[in-house]
Amino acid sequence: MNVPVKPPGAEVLARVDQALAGLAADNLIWLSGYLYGLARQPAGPAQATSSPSTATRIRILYGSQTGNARRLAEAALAELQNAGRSAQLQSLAELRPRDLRGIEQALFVVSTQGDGEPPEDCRDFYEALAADSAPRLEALRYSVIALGDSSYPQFCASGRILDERLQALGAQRLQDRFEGDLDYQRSAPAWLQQWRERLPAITDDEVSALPGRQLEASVALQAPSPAAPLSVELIANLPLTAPGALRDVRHLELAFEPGQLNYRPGDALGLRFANPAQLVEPVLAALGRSAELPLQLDGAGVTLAEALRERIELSRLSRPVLLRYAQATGAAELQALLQPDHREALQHYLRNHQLVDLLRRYPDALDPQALLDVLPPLQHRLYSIASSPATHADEVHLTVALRADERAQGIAYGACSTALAALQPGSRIGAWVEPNPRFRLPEDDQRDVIMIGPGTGVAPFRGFLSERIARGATGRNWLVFGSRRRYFDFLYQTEWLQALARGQLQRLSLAFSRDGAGRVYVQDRLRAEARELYRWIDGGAHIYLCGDAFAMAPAVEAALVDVIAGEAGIDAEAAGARLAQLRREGRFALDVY
Amino acid sequence: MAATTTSAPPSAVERIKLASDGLRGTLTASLADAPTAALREDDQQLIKLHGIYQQDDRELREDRRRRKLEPAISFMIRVRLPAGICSTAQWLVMDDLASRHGDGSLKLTTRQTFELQGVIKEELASTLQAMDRVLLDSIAACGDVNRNVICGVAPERPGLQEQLHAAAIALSEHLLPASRAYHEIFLGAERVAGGEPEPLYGPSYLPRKFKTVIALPPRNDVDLYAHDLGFVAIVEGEQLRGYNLCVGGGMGTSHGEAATYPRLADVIGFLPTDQLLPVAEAVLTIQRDFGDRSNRKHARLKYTIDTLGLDWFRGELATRLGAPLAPPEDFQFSARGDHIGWQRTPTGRHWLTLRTEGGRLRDDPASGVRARRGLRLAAERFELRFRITPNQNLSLIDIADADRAALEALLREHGLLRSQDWTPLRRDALACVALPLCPLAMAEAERWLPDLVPRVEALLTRHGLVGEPLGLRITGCPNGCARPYLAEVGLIGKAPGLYNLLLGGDRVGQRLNALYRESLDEAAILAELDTLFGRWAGERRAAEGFGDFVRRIGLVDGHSPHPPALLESAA
Repeated sequence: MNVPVKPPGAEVLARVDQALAGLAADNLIWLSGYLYGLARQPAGPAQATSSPSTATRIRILYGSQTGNARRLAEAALAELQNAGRSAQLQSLAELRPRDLRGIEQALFVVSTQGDGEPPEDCRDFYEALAADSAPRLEALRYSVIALGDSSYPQFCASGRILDERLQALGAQRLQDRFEGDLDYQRSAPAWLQQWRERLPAITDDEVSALPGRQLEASVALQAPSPAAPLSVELIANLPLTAPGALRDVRHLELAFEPGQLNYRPGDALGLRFANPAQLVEPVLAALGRSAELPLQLDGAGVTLAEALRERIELSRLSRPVLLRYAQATGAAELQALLQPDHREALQHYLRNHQLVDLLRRYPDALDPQALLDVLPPLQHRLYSIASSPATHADEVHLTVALRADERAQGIAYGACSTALAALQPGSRIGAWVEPNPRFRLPEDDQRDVIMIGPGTGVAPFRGFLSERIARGATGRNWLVFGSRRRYFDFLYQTEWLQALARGQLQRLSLAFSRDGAGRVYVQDRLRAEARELYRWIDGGAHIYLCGDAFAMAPAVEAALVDVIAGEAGIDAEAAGARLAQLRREGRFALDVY
Repeated sequence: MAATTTSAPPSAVERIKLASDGLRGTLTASLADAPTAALREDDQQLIKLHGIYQQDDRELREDRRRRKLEPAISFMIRVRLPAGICSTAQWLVMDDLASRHGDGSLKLTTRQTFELQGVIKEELASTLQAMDRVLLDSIAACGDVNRNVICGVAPERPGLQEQLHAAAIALSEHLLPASRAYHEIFLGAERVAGGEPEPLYGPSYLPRKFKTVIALPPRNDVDLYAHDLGFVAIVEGEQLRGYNLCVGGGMGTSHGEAATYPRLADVIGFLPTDQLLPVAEAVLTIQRDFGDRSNRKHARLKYTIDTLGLDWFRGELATRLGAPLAPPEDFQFSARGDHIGWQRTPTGRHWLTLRTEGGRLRDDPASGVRARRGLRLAAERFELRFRITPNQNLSLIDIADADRAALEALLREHGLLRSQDWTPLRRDALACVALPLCPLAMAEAERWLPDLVPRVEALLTRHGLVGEPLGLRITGCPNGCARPYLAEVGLIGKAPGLYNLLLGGDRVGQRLNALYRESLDEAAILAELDTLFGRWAGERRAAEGFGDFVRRIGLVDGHSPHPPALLESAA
């Protein structure tokens, strides 16, 4: 299709801006494709529900859990546009494998969660692609960017699986897969540059799509992002746990001007922060070099202290760093950890060590510049939002567990949580909203909801309950919470008790693992209350699960399968299928990390 | 019933008791409520009748509220221990339980029993079961029932001592509620179909607490006149002939409410030993039937008697017993404090009484006093019994001659026999628990006592009065757990750091003191005492006690609002 393209006048642009005001980034991105689809329709309006499957020649497809993959996809699009080309950006959540048949060039940017899982909202796509019924894709040429964390055994698995499956379906690989670790921001640009050079020459279709850039620009204006966070004011920083609790958990309240941040319960808040002194000082001391030592980072001058404070990841050790140390020192213990069959030991090591431990054990193995060259950039952190705008207008609340793990080699501090803990009311911090469209209350307020959130996993449910109360939802609310001890770390206890007493929370199931003789966890409560749980599920309840992805979430899923199997009188396989079905229907949603 | 003390509607607590299905209420469900450490509101009242109080650490309330956590709630269990006597096996169990709960201390009370603090809801049943295995319970140790029966002391007359101990047990058991709720809720007993009638108490128990005592003159260690129901042992030779009956004593008042007052009991007659239980039952049921059930601040027997008159009471008692009592016999009290140190009984056994500050036993490595450890070893190694005294001290009794030296060495090694403990001031000083756990407390008591006593002692020294007996009692509120209205120097908390100073009680507990100064802080209290001790040292008559002195020179009003009959008859 060849349509003469000209930019709209100022009046039209103003109307567009007015219509788009307040929309979140994900909606705007979707709309960019929708508008293009509209332009290509022969006549009449497009169906609002159809995904923008009519193709530009180049499609950038992302599967993102925390926003990193999405942002890298957006960056790839921006670079492409800077080079005078066009492409369409789309989430795999909105795509069926069949849609790939109309695409000539695809760039996939996918992250890997937990034990090799694709992002939550891409599971349907992955399942369909893996099925025997998946379409042949001989016409598709594609490339894959896989993001992951090499400290996990299944590093970049979802990207690898995608790549292998596309091959098997006959698609042609344009360029070898990129596997990005925590430091992907450093290495991805070169790979993307190469990818752009390999793309076939520009076509008329692309030229016609160029106005899309206008919309991209308005995305940047509307919503705060990691690159352009909103400065929000901390108005409260309260401990939620009693002295003597294993972990200090804080309740943070952040305030902004009306309309500056738009979020819904279930969303996450991204925070920009600097490494706290607890992390920086020991590293400086172990290096034994001046804080003012001039160094190079990403092609610009920086002092050692600046780099450690603001640019470099200090709290999470990654495999590339360990690899570099192994090369520099030749230490057998490090080399052993890097063997392919030692992934679990590696993960354990990385979880229990920080950079400073390496610096102390192998002093002088790497000079500061060599270190800076290998250390990943400081990662931003995301926290599930613990409030509802309906109850706390112009505020966003967070529930933050402070990491300060006592170890033989010293305390391991969390970077962001330690920085947050020190913030005094009145100070400001950069923030943005990471939408989590798969973790939403039911539209239908008559639906029951079951909220399973042990520990700080309870955060989004504080927002959920506030929202349901504010909306006057008539469906019942059931919270399943767990922690170590009721006296010390029953997070938001008085609020739940009040909601119970007022009849706003119909059911509260609790598992305090260290209060009784036996260890009781949320999954045990679910099994103990199987009959009622199944009654709720069978009655159409939505189930939400938030918290630890490694031990808790699989245990809770197993318990849910058991409950469904036991109460419905079906076998575990059928119960698992039923739970998977609930998940596809959006009636079982996870926010695990 | 002829007369009642009120026609107003019953108080909320009355309704709760009445609707409680024999003290069961919803306790079982309350105990299983996982979201909170608290009981449901009505159950908080009911559980008192099982000897248990819901408390919280008031110093943590505000901090926990800010953390969105409920208060630091736990429970206090008060043991039913008639006459304060327990075996070594029972002692060891209480000592174990003290290790597992609260702050690791063991608290001895002015009602001759243990208080176990800091027990969480989920551990109440297992704790009471551990007690049950050594035949201890907490039934009726709090609440609107007959509380722990306390009993006077006479190591020099062991036969009599045993008889009175047996009488205290008999009284305690006879006046127990019939409800099996305690056994069902905490000990796992099955409920017998149909429930049980409550023949003695009726469905709503008593209007208020009810305290019973047995005194053995010449020692008034039990504070006879502070009790609702008192029996004074009348002895001829070594034979117990019977008892004088005493009724209507009580300590509790409320600040600023003139209608509440402490009252000394009246001695109203004599009864032979076999009439002990019938008389006790008659007094208790008169109070059951005529006590004020609308206003809990006017519900003790003392108010019933003052409202309806002592003559009316005598008449009602005679009606219930079928005959009037004989007139009271003469008796004399000459002492109230404990004999600290060793005593030898005529049967060749030994008693050793140890002073315990505020009734609190703990292991404190800093001071070198390891009281619990020392007493634990004593219980493990020696054949003896323990007697908690009404003065919050502790006696080890029935010790064999052969064990005396070894026991003394053991206790010394654990810092339990220190000579400075033996000054009369320290020996006799009493304090209630008060802050932070007691919900009624307005000011410190037990925690302040160790600071205050040396300062008072320094003043005595300064005026050349060291070693002089001086009865000092502190309570954190006007309810009077440490019987402060019978002290020579009574300090009653009004607000944090502020106390009413009451003066003029006598040394044996036969006269109420009176308000001397209101709302003093510690410095002002010490300044007042400094001045008064100066005058006492200079102007006292031979061996004149401080309370008698201040009254003689007119520093406090000699008028007591309800002069007890005893003072006239015994004077």
